[in-house]
Amino acid sequence: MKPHECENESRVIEAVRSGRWDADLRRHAALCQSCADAALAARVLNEMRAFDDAEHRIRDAGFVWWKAQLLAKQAAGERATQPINFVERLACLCVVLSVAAACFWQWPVIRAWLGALAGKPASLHFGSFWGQVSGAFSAAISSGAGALTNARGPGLLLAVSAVIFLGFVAFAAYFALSER
Amino acid sequence: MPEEIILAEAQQIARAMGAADGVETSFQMDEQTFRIFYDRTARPLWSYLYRSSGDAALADDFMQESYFRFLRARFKEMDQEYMKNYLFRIATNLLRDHWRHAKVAPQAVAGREEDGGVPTPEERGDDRLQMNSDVRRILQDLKPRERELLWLAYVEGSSHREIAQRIGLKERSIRSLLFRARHKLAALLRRQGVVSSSG
Repeated sequence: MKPHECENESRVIEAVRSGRWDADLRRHAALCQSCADAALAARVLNEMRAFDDAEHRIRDAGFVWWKAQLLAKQAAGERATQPINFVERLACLCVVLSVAAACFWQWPVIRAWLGALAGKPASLHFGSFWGQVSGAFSAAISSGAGALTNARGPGLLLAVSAVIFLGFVAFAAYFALSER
Repeated sequence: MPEEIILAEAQQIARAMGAADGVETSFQMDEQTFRIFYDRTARPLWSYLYRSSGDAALADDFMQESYFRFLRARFKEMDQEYMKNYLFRIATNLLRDHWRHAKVAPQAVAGREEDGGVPTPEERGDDRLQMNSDVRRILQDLKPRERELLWLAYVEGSSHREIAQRIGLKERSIRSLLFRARHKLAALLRRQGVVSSSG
């Protein structure tokens, strides 16, 4: 279908919208298919618009303004708490990783402790529990100290700690100095 | 709930939130300017959203969302026509996103009679309502883009350039799309025997 637009079409639409027809234009609209279609479509749709205006009550501008403010404050609040949430999640991740690393690092001690627990009679487990815990911790500390005195251990540990510390300092400085 | 009560509550909450979190909302437009702009654009925008979607509740929600997004935008020029086009563009994009994400046929959305905005003909026993209902059913047979085009061209009186800006199409394609949409609507109206009261 080839689009055909009559030169009078815009006048016809305007006449429908305003309700002001002149006789020539009305005659033309009756004869021209394109203008007749335009007039019919425009008339029906404008009646729908008039119907909406009469039947539907639009919300007050004040309500929309205040709700927009409310939403903007909410969005700003969410933006403001984003770094805090991020740091919280980061802290949780650090704790989990630290525990996992400690377990991995001290696995021989933990295994020995668990083995010792399994080897004792059940009645002795509770009574000697704290003794075993303190023993395991002592072993862990001595083992850790041994690792620190190892040739590569202290340097690596210090480097990792320094990197994490600097990372946190940079992160804190960014949020302290950032305007938002 | 009466609108005055909702408004009073909204103001109270907004004040409380502002005082509590110290967050400033910086819209480019002040309230007075917004009110003037809103009074000029709200009705056409609501009708456009309603007639394009066929859902009054959706039209209410999208109108609020459109103004919210509009207020957050930064304009280089505060020209009224440019801003109105921008607002309609936001509304059109909301409709598109809705149809895309909801994965429902726009026709299915458009067919709801019980959407709260307009009473059914049976409720009122009115010829105008009956015709409104008939036309609404006919509009469902058009594609969403065709409804948008027809509404902007024949109700809003927008030029092809304005339509292109409002619905994100190329200006040169508007003419043929509009012609086809108009031809389709006129044929449907004649086939269904829907004739307006004014003749």
